[in-house]
Formats: sequence, structure tokens, C-alpha cells
Amino acid sequence: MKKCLFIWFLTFIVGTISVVPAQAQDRQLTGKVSDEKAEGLPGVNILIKGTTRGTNSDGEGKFSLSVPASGILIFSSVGYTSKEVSFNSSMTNVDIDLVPDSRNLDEVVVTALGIERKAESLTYSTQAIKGAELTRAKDPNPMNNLVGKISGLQINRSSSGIGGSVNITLRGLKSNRSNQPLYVVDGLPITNTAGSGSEGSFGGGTDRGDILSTLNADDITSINVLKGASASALYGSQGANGAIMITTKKGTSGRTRIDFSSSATFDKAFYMPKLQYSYGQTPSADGGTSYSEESWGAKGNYQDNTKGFLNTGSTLINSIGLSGGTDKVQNYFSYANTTNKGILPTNKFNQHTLSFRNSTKFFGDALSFDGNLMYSTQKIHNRPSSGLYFGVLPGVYMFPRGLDFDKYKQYEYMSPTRNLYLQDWYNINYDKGQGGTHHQQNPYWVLNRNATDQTRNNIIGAANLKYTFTDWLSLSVRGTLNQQWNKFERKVYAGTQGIISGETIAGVLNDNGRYQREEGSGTTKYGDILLIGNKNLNENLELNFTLGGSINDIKSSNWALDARKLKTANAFLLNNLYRDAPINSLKETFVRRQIQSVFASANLGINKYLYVDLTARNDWASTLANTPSAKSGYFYYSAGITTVLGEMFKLPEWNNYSKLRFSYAQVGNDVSEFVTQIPSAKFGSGLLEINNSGVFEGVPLKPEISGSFELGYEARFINNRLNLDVALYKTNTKNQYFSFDGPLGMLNTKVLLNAGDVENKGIEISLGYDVIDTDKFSWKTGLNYTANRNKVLKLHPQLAQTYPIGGNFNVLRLNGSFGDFWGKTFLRDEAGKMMVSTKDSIPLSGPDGYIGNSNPKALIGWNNTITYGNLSLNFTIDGRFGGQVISITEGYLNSFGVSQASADARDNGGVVIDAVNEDGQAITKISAKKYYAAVGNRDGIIEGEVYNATNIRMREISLYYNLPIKSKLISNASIGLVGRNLFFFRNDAPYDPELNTTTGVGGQGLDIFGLPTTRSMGVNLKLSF
Amino acid sequence: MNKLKYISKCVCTALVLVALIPGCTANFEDLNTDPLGLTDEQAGSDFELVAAFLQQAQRAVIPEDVGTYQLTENLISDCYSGYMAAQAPFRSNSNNLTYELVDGWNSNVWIYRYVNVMNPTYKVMELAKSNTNFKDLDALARIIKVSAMARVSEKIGPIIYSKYNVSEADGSISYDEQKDIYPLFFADLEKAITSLKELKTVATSPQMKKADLAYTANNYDNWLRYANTLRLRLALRIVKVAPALAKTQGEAALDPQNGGLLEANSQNCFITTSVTHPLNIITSPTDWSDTRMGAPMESIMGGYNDPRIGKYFVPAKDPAVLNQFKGIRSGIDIKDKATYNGYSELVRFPQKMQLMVAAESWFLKAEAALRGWTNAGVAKTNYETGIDRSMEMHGASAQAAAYKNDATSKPKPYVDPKALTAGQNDVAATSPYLSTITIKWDDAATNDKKLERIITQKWIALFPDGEEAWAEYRRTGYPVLFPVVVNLSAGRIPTIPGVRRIQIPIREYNTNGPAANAAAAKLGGADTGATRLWWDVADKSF
Repeated sequence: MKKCLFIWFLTFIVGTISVVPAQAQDRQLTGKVSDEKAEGLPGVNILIKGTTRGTNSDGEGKFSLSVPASGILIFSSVGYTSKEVSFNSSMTNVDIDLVPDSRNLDEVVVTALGIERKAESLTYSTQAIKGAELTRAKDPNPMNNLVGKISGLQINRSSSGIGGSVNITLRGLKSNRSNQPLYVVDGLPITNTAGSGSEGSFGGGTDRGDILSTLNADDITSINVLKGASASALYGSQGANGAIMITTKKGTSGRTRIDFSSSATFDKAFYMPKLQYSYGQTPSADGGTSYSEESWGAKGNYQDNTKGFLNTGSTLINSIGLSGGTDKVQNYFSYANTTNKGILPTNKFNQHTLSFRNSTKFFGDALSFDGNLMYSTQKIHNRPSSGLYFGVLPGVYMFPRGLDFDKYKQYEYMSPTRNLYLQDWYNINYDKGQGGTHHQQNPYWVLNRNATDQTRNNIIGAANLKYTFTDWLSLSVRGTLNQQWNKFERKVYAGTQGIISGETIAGVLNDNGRYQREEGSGTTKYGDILLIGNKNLNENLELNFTLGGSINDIKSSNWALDARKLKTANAFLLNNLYRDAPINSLKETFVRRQIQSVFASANLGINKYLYVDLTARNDWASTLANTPSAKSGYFYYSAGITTVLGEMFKLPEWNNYSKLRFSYAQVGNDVSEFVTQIPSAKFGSGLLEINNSGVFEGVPLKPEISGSFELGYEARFINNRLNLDVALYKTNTKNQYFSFDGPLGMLNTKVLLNAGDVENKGIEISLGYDVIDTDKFSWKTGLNYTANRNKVLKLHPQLAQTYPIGGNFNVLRLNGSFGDFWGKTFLRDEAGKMMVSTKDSIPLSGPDGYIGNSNPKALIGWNNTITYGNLSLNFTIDGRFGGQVISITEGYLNSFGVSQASADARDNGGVVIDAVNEDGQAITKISAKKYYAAVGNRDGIIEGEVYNATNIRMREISLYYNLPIKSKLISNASIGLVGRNLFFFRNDAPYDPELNTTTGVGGQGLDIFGLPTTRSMGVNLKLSF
Repeated sequence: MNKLKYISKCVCTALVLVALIPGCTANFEDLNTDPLGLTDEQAGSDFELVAAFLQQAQRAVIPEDVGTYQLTENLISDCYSGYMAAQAPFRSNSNNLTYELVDGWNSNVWIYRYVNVMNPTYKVMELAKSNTNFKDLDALARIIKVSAMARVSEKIGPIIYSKYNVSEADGSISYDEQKDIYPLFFADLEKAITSLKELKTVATSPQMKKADLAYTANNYDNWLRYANTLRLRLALRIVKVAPALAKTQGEAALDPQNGGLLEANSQNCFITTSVTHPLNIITSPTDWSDTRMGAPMESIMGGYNDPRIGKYFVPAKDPAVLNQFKGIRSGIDIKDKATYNGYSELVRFPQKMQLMVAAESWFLKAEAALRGWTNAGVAKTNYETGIDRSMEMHGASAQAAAYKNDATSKPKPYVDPKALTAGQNDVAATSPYLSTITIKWDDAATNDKKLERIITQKWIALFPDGEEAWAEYRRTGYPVLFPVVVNLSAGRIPTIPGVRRIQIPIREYNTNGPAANAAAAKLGGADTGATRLWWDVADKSF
């Protein structure tokens, strides 16, 4: 331990011991860099030759730099030919023009660990998106703005409204534990908390949001997506699913700047389930008051109770960024807030984000410091959740037709027997002896008397000290700390439906309500030390290398109380817990893991057309303590090669650029924490829980390993107007860690093992074309295409070949693929015809079987930017093709007779089917009620609730006008009309297939009364001073 | 050159730092230690761990966890025994109760007991091998193991017992056929009884006091009586298929030299649970509200004017049947839960689980007497004492004499005013499913009648232990219960004689395939709910 502290200490002071004498104070030189059209060129790198001193030009191409008496300035910028300009003591101003470089239009990209590399030299696929594209039509979770703009990337959202968590998958699902890519801010990884949510059909769990929603989109300069393991191998296991590299804004030297942006958007639910209002509630058998939940009753004309239930939501996002600096010190400060009123009544979301970044140079620019502090705080009231328990929408959608919904807006009544307000609903009324069912409650009661509150505070602090020895060698010491605090509370009032309310003790305790509370905090520390070299060995040989070590330490703890026995009704206090009964629901949980690594990479460039890339990494993981790989850790490597064809051969005139790349990478991964040394018993909640898990057949655990090949081609044609990037890849993830429900005849029934081989292969194509490119009018269009195929090649040979994941219908099965649904099928005869019973034509259920897969066959995104003078129009259309989703919602609506489909079927005298009965007679029509009773619900024949997930939608439209303000004060002003998720060109499913009950593993492609998808429209104002 | 030297120095420093980082892995074992894990020191103090093993096992003989109880007991045997009926149309009314057996429910019978009983009792017996002080715990472990696993076998048939935690070359774990299991049960009980007989006179050890969730005094004596009664219960279970073994074991249980049976209610075996009695939550209208009184209970107890009916059930609240003791017939067409909400709920039980009561042991003795087993006493006396014990237990002793003397009351017809199809659920006076058996003992009656009388009364006394009641119903055919009205098994399970068992869990086929298939092959029929267990002979005559 002491040794570790010592190393940490050394790590931090290493930069400071290397002091070189400071240079004498110099004078200021200012100037402006322009492009060939005489417009200011931002971001030009300006360096005093022979030193490490320099700066960048600002948004208008201006710069200011302290310089010695005389010397040479080197101006370089991506896509332009570098220029050297000498200056002498008499000059105070240098204005220059840069001319475009016809050969190298390539960019510098941020790669793993934040190392900048020439895109040309990369042996793998990356795709970048500028900050401006994220803020054009803002979503409170900036990741949602990536949809359709990056090939190989799939985003599923949780149906929990604004600020809800997202699930990003790059190049297919690989792991039964986590498929999230690594998120990296300015080169340093942050830990994304699993968004989670309700997984089972009962639901009741609430999405806790993720760290991504706490980022301020206006702080982001660009996002670069490293799609495959080759790209992110240097991050080790965390990068196995790719990485999302977020580069944040820095202050600019030489001038100050204020950016203000304000957006107001309005959300409206637009894809509601189709409900019927022409058949009434099922009457009571004995003619008395009907308490039936179903609407299979008399034909009539009934009130549409969903009208006006959901609100028009509003989201206001305001942000201000202040930046400025000198060539020595640059600062950036920003503040943003998001205020949202959800479409679900009472739902509110509030967020404040503060960010501060400082970059300072010391010792004549030899030592540079870059520090960053981001703080965010979120408060959410009544975040929407999926599922039946605590669900708001079941009561809205399924309210029996013909009863008076408005009457129940007054959701409670004064109970004479209890002298307090209890729930009033057509089938829930304590004093009338009506207890209701878990299917539904009065939605207004749920909103007001089962309300939840969440808070989340998050701090990310990062520091980077970089010492530059010479123009080709530098040493960086970096560290980041991410601390978060989360709280969750749900107050369940007495009178809530019995299954989810407080528990009673006969004669002692009534249902006095239920109090759920959770508090947790987590700390992630990451530190690394990097020696980075960048040397032209000779005219034709260029070497980049990195040598480094890192430590990543994750620690979190959480406690959760679920008190169902309260002394006094509706007093939600810890002091009010009923004390004479054991509190069987107070639990603490812990997570702790540390990974230490050493790594090296080398990139050799030969003759500027051949690049060879090699990386190697060895990890030591605390989670593998007590296994054979504890001491040695686990080693993996990557290798890649790329050639710039134009430098090798003469390309035809129309092909401006061609590059071919190939790489192979391995990434290792550790196992879950606390599983390699299992105690004989664990403290449960007031009970000892006897251990029943252990390694399968005594085989010790080992790290997972995944290997991926990638072949890519990049090219530009027709005067660089058409560009193409194609990638083919194949990834095999082997020896995955599973915690499996094994044979019960052994002591360890929960067996821990490494098994499996999951293969993903696919193709990604990005195509961009500058259709029109004139000074006044331009139209750029881009197309992203992704197709991924997944196959489970191997599972453990001795164990079940169907492995449930996530607790719903998702399974992993041999020769199947990730995202497979496994559920009750229709019984079919030998010819494959659906079978119904002879007696009353009820569809017969067959065994559980494959009923679909949630993964799309292809994703296509089409982006357009049209600029005419001061007007610019952007739009994105994207489509998901193939794949299936399960709608338990629709299943319920059908079986309860409230869906339009059930009414149509009744109007037509039944559901038209192509079936045979047990005697082999053809049956073409059966009673709607009988059909849907068999098919609907959460445990009916699920096969009948599977829908095609193909959809094409208008993802995003924005129209901006740059106000032609000629003012000294205002440098730029624009106003935009924006819209997101506007409409579907096509959607085959009864809900938005992009929404999920949970963003965790399993639970994809499933809807159980999730909030409907929303259309947002609004205005966005941007001002720069 | 100075600068180059300086650079190389820095590079060296960096490399050394990098190389040192992995040197910190020494604390990985600490980092990867679960903070929630019990340390060895904690495990030893106050016999915490060994007691936890046994307590967990005791709480799982009949699962105390409400969700598990509902699946393993309430939606199988509590309903199949006629005690209760579900008022909710689970899975669109296509479930166990309508003979569409649900593996996702039923597999819990197996899973829960293996995880919570076989595992910890095995560990206790292992510990006892090297610690002679744990002889008492070894005995308790064996008794608990037999108690729980007999319940598993009596629902499924073959189970893993002798080969527990022993895998074959192919990794599978072999089953024992049911006919081979009973001798194993008796052997385990024999061992426990021998130990407890020796310990009976010594003071209860601190570890036994800590582990014992049933008794706070005379621990060894009470468990010995429990073990003997269990031995008699299991002996009678196999009386038709292995009469000789049944007699030997039954007479051993009855032999006073072996410590006697549960005779008084003070000796009743109730396990103190860590949570509310699961039935309280399952029946309470302000909790889950999923179970109500079974129609046979209404018919038999109601017909007998049994004073215990109000000790078991709450009068109905539904206006159609207000203040009656009203049961639901199991396996009927139910459209929604609200329909039967107002039928009779169960009373609320104290926080303890009934494993075995003295009344049962008297009824067992009555049957043993009928069969002429040594030391069984007189059938009539045993029968009447059984009723007395049960009445006493439920605070109805005052009515016992009149009840025992009632020679006319019979099970009454059943009417369901809320049936979806009127009359569909009714059981008329003329129905063959309405017995004519009366209460009063009749020495002149046939043995079949006597047995029906004994088992019918035992059925009433066993409440709410549906698991034992359903096993005895299948063995003897008594009491006469109502068949299901809706049978969705598509012919797999004939309505008459009704469901006989539940299937081997799919998880076993998936993870222990060769053994599960071998066991299924020896069932004597398909692995369905229709195949009879070993002791469930078709000919129910005495």
C-alpha cells in the first residue's frame, strides 16, 4: 500500500522536477490567418520554429502570441499547406493566407488516450461529429444526437422521458454483461453508470439516468467514435465495445468570447397505441355492478379518456460559455441549465451544469497544464417508468369503456373507517371491499401518491500535466476523478393497490404505505503516465510511439430501503418504520475493482504511404485475484497496416485519394468483482445468506478475450467532393464470464464459468457528397449504412444451450444470436399451420421457442446540410430495417378488449386466421375475445405479440438563419427552428421500436406500457460576443 | 550532449514508474473481498454460521418466502388438496389449476429446496464429521433434510438424494428412483433418532439452542418425537407398495423405546419464520389478494358444522354470499380477479410455519391400528384423540364432544352463484364427488370407510399444510374432492383421476440432461402431470 502511495506521489511530481530556466519575457505579435477566400481561418496552429511555443487562431482567424525579437512562425492547419513566415523586431502584426493542400485534406483525429494522430495513418475506422451538429437540434442527452450520423452505431433509448439513459451499441452486441462503449472525456475515461430501469413485465423500477445526460452539449467541440477494438485497444477491456471520445472546449488565446445559446422545445406524444371506444365494459355475470377490467361489452359510443391526459412537454435549455486567454493561459467557463416539464403530468426534470477548464503553460511552454472541472446536478420528479407496477399508462389505456374517467380525476376519497384519504378507482376502494389488481391503478393516484424523486450530483475533475522535452518527445501525467452521488425516493401512500403497497399485520398494522429510499455514491479514479514520441527518423520514415501505464480504480456503495411496514400511515420518515417487525429490506451493496496496466504502441510511417501500427497491453485486474492470471495479468495486442494508394501508384484523375487499411486486435476483459474468493455466507438483510455459487467443476476463472479483424477502404473522388469510407469487420468474443444457473444436485448451483464464442460481423459504409458547392449555395449530403450479423457459435457444451438474459424474453442460445426472443409459440401442425382447440377454437400454445430477434438487419442514416446565404437547413432521416419487437402493451390492450384491433376484429365477426383445429378442420375465423385471451397479456402466446421493428423516421430538421448583424459587440447571431423525431415515414410496430423498458442487457425490443415517443419542435437562439 | 542525457534520464524514470505500477497488485485480494462476506471469526462466534445453515434449512422445508410459497405450495398443493383456490386467472387462466402445468412456477419446488435445504444440511453433516460436539446438529440436519426432500419427491417422484454433490464422469448427477428413496429417508431418520435418544437426557447444547427454530425447551425430546412421527408418516405412505418395509418402519416409529410420537399440542412443530406467514400476504385483500377458501373446505367443514371453519376462514364479504363461509372451486373458468374477491379469505396466521402437529400423529396411529401394527393402540381412541388435539389447538375444545358424536352431518353440496356459466361449478347432492362419510367413529364400518373417516378428519386437521394433504389424497383417494371444471391440458392430464404429480424441472433437463432423462424413463409413464408416483396405486381399496 505504501509503495503504491509512493508511486502515485512520484507520478504527480515527475513533471515538476524537470525544471528548465524560464525564458525572458517577450513582446506580443498579433495577426490574422485567412483562407483562399480571404475569410478568417480558425484553429490554425502557429508555432515559433525551434521552440514548443505557439498558439491557435481564434474563430475569426486572429491570433496573438508573445514572441522573441525575431524568428520564424510556422502556420499549419489541416487541409492547408503549411507556411513559414519570418518576423523581426519591427513587426507587430503578421497577416497571412493559407492555400488548401490538394494532397492532404486529411484531418487530425483524437485517438485512444487522447493522442492526436493523422487520420491518414490510422489502421482502423473512426468517425467524428462536430459539436455544432450536436447543438443544432439539442436533446438533453447529447448522445441522442448521434443517431443516424455515425455508421456502426445503434442507439436505444429508455422510455423514461427527458434525460433518460441511452444504450449505445457499436458493431453489435457482444457481452452478456455490458455492451456499452467506453466514454472518454478529453482522453480520460469516465464511468457510465448502467442506466437500468424496469426489466420485468411487472416493472416498477425506474431509470436512474446515466452520466451522459449530465453533459452539456455546448461544452463539446467534437465527438469521435472509435468503433472497433483496434481503435480502442489501448483502453483495454473498457474499450472492448469501442469508445466514444468527447473533446470539450478550451479557451482561445488572444481574445475573449461569450457564447450564449438558448433553446425552447415543445414535446408531444405522437405515436399512441390505437385504442377503441366503441365497445363497453364487460358486464357482471350476475347483473350487478361490474368491476371487470375488460371491455368486451355492448357496442356503443364511449368517451376517449386518453385525450388531454398527456401534456405538451416543454424543455428549456440555456447555456453560456465564457472563454478567453493569452498564449500562456486560456480559460473556459460554461454554465447550462435544462428545465423540462414532461409530457407525463407532474413529471419535471431540472439540471444545472457548470464547467471550468484551464490551460496554462509554464517554463517557456515546456510544461503545460490542462485542467477541467465539470459539475452537474439533476433533480427529477416522477420520471416515467415502464411496467404494470406503479405504471400510469395502464390505467389510462385500459380504463373500462363506458365508465366515467373524469370522475376519477378526484383520485382519493375520505375513508370513514380509516379517517384518511384512500384511492378511489372503479375496482379499488377499500371501503367497498374492492382491492383491484396489479394491472392498473388510478393514474392520478399513481402520479400524486406513488411519486418518485431522484437527485444526482456528479463531479468530473481532470488534470493533465505535459512536459515537452523536445519537439518530438513529451511526457504526460494525467488523472481524473469522477465522483457521483445519487438519491432515489418513492412515497407509496396507504390505499395503493395491495400488491405494491404497505404490508399489513392482522389486528396490529393496517396498510400504512410503503417507503422506498436509496442513496449511493461512487468514485472512479483513473491515472496514467504517457511517454509520447513523434519523430521523423529520416525523410521517409516517421515514428510515433507511446509508452505508458495506468491505474483505474472504481468504488461505489449504495443502500436501499424498501419499508412496507410503517407505524403511522403516510409518514415517510425513517423514524416511522414499524419496529416490531424485522426490516427485511434494508440492503447495502458494494462495487470495488481496480485495473492496473502497462501498454505501448508504435506507429511507423514509411514514405507517407505505408503505416504500420502495433499496440500491446497487459492488464492486472483485482477481480481476478486468486486465479492463475492474478500475478501475470493478461496480455493482448493489436496490429494494423494501412496504405495510401495515391502515394504508391498513380491514381486516375477522378480518384483524389485512396487508402486501404487492415487491422487485428485483441482485447481482454476481467470477470465480475468478488467472485474469485467467495465467503461461506454473506450478510443478507438480517439473515445470513448461505453461499451456493462457485466455479463450475473446479475450473478457475480466466479473463475473457475478444479478437477482431477489420478491413477498410477510404477514398475521395471528383475533386474531393465525394468521399467514401467502408469497413468490414468480424469480432469473436470468447470465454465470456457467465454466472449460470447450473445443475441443482451440486452444492454450487450458481456456477461461474468462462464459455462461449459470440461472433459479430458486419459492414459499415459512410458516403458523403458535396452536391452543390458555391459561395452562396451549398448542399452536402451524407449517408451512413450499417449491417451487423451476430451469431452465438459456442456456449458451454455441458450446460443448457439456451441462456436467459435480463429476465424477459431475451436469451442467448447456441446457433442463435444476441437479441433472440424466446417465448411461448403457437402450437402448429406438421404443415406449420396454427392449431386451435376443436371445442371452442382457442389458439393452442406450443412449447417455448424462438419468436424473433430485436436487432435490426440494417441501419441507414441520411444527413443533409443545405446552405443558402445566411440560411442553413439540416435534416436527418434514418431507418432501421428488420428485427422484431415485443409489445406486451398491445398484448394487454388486445386481451382487455380496449385496442382498436380488438374492436375491428369484433366488427368483422372475429379474428381472421389460417388455422386448423385438433381434428384437422380448417378454421379461418375465431372469436376476438378468445383469440386475444390466449395471445394477449404478459404470459399469453407471446409469439402473437411480436411485431416487425422496421421504421423510417424524420429524425431531425433544423433551419437556421444567421442574422446579418454588423456590430462591434456581437460577432455572430443565429436563430433556428428545430424539430426532432418528427414523424415516421413507416413504422410497423405499435410503438416506437427505439424505446426500451431498460437500457441494461436484456430487455431490448420490449415495450410494457412505456411512455409513447415524442415529437419535439422548438426554437434555438445562438449569440456570440 | 547534456540535453540528450537529460531526456534519457527522464525516459528511464518514466519506464521505471511504468514498471512499478503492477507491483501494487499485492492488495488485490483485499480489494476483491466482498465486504458483505462473513469472516471466519464472525462465522465461529455464537455458532453463527452453522446455526445459519440449519435455520435457512428449517425455513425452507415449507418456504417462508412469500413469492416462493405461492409457486411451490399455494398454486400447486394448496389448491390440489382442496384447501384453497386461486381467485386470480393467472396466465389468462391457463395454469396449474386448469391443468396447464407451468414449469416456471413448479420448478421452484425443486430449486428452492436444493438451494436452501440440501446445500446447508450437507454442509452441517460435513462439519459434524469432524466435530463430535455437533452430533445434535447432525441429527437436526438429517431430520430437516428428510422433511423437505420428502415433500419434493412427493410432488415430482425421482430426486437427487444419495448422489447429491457427486457428479458422474459426464458431469451429470444421478437421481434416485422414488422406491429407492424411502429406504434412504428411513436410514437418515434412524441415524438422527439414535443420536437424539442418547442426547435426550442431557442439557441442550448452545449450538442447538441457537439453531433450533421450532422449540425453546426439551429440544432433543421434541425433535425425537417429530422424527418418529415423520417416520410413521412416511411408512404409511408406502404401505400399499412396500407393505413389509412400511410395517417395520412404522412399528419402529411406534415403539415407545424409540422416544414416542408427537402426542400433545405443546410438542407441535412450528418453525419460527423471519417474515410474516406467506399466506397472510397471499390472501389479504390489501396485499396480494390471490387466494381464497377452497370449495371442498366449504362443503366438508360446512357440512360438518365444523367449529374450526371460523378459525381457518373469514366469512365472505361478497353481497351474493354475504357472511357465509364461501369457497371457490379450483380449476374453473375465471374472467377476472374481482369476481371472487369477496369469497372467504383465510384467517391471518401467526409468524410461524406449521410442519407437523400432534393431531396428525394420532390420525397416523389410528390408521396404523387399522393395519394392526404393534403399539398402534386402538383405532377409535386414536381417531377421537386426533380430533380432540386439533380442536384444542384451535381453541374449540368445548365443541369437540358433540362434534365427535355427530353421526349424521355429511359434506354439503356446493353452489357457486358467480359462475360464468350458471351452475357449471356446482356440485349437487347427487354428485359422486360428494362423499357421504360422517364424523362419528363406527367400529362396524368397513376398513375403507374407517380409512376415509380418518383421512377426512386428518385432512381437516392438517390445514394449511396442503402439501401433506395432497400427498395423502393421492395415496388414499380421501377426502373425496371435486374434479376440475376446465381442463386445458389437451388430454395430457385426464380430469379423472386428476393431476398426480408435477414434472421434473426444465432446468434439470437443461443442466443435468442425461440424469434427468434417465430418471424420467423410469417414471413408468411420460413426464407429465398424469403419471402416478410409485406409492400412488390406482386401486385405492384398503
